[in-house]
Amino acid sequence: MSFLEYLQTDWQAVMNALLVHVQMSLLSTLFAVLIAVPAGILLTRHEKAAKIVLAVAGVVQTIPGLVMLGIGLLIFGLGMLPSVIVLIAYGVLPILQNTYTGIREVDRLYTEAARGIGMTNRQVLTKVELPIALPAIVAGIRLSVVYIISWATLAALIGAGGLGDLIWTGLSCYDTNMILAGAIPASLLAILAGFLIDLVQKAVTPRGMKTKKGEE
Amino acid sequence: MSDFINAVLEHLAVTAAGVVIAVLIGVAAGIFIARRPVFAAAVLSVADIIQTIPSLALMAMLMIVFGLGDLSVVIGLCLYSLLPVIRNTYTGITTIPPSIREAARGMGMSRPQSLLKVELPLAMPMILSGIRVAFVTALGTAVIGVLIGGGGLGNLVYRGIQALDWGMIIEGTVPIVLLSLLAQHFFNRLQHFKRRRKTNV
Amino acid sequence: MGGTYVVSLRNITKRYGASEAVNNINLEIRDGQFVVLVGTSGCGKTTTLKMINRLIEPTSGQILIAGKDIRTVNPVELRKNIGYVIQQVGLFPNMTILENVETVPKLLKWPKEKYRRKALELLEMAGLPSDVYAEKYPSELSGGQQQRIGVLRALAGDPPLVLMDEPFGALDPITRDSLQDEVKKLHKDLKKTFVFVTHDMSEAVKMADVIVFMDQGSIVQIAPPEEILEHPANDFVRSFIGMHTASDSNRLSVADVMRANPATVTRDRRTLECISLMNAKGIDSLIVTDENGALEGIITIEAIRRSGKPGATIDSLIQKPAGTVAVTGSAKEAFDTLTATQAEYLVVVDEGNRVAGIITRTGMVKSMAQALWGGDSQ
Repeated sequence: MSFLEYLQTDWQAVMNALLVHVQMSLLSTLFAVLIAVPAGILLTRHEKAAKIVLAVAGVVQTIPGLVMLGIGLLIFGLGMLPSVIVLIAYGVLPILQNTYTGIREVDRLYTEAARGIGMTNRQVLTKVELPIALPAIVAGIRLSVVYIISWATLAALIGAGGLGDLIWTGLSCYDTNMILAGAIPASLLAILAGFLIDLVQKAVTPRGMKTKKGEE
Repeated sequence: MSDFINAVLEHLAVTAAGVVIAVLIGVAAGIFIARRPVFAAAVLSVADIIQTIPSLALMAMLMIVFGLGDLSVVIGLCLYSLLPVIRNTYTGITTIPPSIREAARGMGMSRPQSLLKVELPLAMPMILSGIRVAFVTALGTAVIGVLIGGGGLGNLVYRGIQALDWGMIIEGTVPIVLLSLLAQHFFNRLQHFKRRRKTNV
Repeated sequence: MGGTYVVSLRNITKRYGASEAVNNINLEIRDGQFVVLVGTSGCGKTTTLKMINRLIEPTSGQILIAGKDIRTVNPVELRKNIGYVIQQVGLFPNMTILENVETVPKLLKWPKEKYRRKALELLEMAGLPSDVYAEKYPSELSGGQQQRIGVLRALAGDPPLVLMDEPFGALDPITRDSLQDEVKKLHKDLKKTFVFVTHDMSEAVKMADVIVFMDQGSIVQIAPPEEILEHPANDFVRSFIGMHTASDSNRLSVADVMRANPATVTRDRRTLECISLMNAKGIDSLIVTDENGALEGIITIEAIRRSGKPGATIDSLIQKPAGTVAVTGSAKEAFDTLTATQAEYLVVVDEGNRVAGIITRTGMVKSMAQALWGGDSQ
């Protein structure tokens, strides 16, 4: 049967998979942000620790997603929870790096001026450093979201379900329709998420601070 | 042991193939949109969208078209590597101070000469940075190739996961991490070398 | 604000390791005075200023503001009640002009109505209509306008004391002049106490009620401007006045009319670099020196365009300058040489043939006008 016919009959399975996938991704992203942003801020206050942490993060990021999931499997077993843990752990990294860099690159001029006119350290952070670093932080979040959605497809291999499941089963059975039923929604989901976050980034960049898209 | 070495070599070969093709296409595309900025937004967006697609999804879809095996993997890696290469080439060229290009033209250089002798060399550090990112990312992504019939270290990783065998997983991962770090080091040195030779204005 | 608001510095010393940036300073500032700390870089004037709002803590000594030892006051509270303006302005790029100006009153927890009104008032007073400027961002304003806002931001919380650290140093002379006038007027209208740091003697003379002349961490002389000009305490003060103010046209030297630090390159530089440098600076020739700064010749954009090869050094293209003059010579000498050689500029050299500066036709004219009719230094 054709792909469209397949969709018509099995759309429920696809919707379920999509839902699971979105849940996994959303949950992981949320926790990744909640952990990484404060951690990134903390690192900017502790130079030496920062160097070590970021170096380790750099190395960890070269470990392929599949491997991390495999390690998650071995430590925590099958299912969604181990996957989410791995996704969070991995998703923290780009946000951490970007938060740290974003804040460090705020010109010292502004933090000194802020301190000079009577702001407390916390006020300097919330009124000056974070707003200026926000576009960079959001860029980090965009990276993480895209990665997380991508790894979530792999997570099917360790029993997490989601759209990856459809792809994987499709691959095992040479069922093209199933593959597409998983691959296309996953792609669209990722593209949509990227697009939405780009909008968010535009929204949080004050008009007076529009910067160009830089190198990676 | 020889199996292991074969796996490593195959992994490297597949990664290198994908990245090299991406560099050839990507640098050309980057130069093109640097010359004709009207296309820049569109080209960069397309490359960006391609990169956003989850790797498993992309590989699986490629397999449907090109069949099982390394070919699909190479094409997939190539597609993923396009964005960093194109974007960095584009940025590298467009951020050259216009006074240098003017000087080159003023001296009587033709467009291709200006490109070859002046603009590309100056943009090289940034282009190399893009290639580095592409290569390191591709090393990791190539692991998934095993799922669509490709070879390389992904095989070890995958079997390790199925057999719940730490040893195999590590055996498959360590070379990738080492290769990534080596590549980063190598490219950094290359970039640094190029940057020092760049004239300081 | 009237009353007995006073700033007292008693035996203030600041040591960094073995060196003393500020050495046993004593200073009393009266309510409503405009005090200018002036001296060369490194004399301790900025360090002294920053000890008043505790951005730097003294190694020993005591500072009293309105009779209170500032060490007993929370530094953050202290700074909220002192206006602070710095050279690079430091307007927050993520905030609009209005938000920038409102920053301190907000920190002081004023009700919104009050701080909004105050900010708009200040904008009007500075001649920056709020309907145009309030919603703009600092990056959309010129340097002079930004610094105007910087001053307003410092005044918005209605502080009795305002500190200014070389606030106009980065601006062009015309903007600097008008901002100096504006600040003087603000001082007269608002009757606040100002402590102002500068290395420019004519700025000090123009702005101050009292000048505090500093050198190497100590105060050399405290006096109103006229007194310092007529009775400089020592030779150093005298020469400082001489170097940094318009001098008598009879005694105008080459050093007075030249532009120091001209753009120079060495002969191993390449043609493209030089073109780029000239384009960036908007000039059509560069002075060529050796590694010690001794004059070797000049290189013009014409020469490069005519016979330069890309990637080659400028070595073969160096020409002799049209004219040179010694730094110890008189301005008249330079003027005569300029007219005789019809050159666009003269290279100024010292006894070791090292390049000290250049004298351009326009520069010459400006200096002469200033010497004849006064005005601020170039």
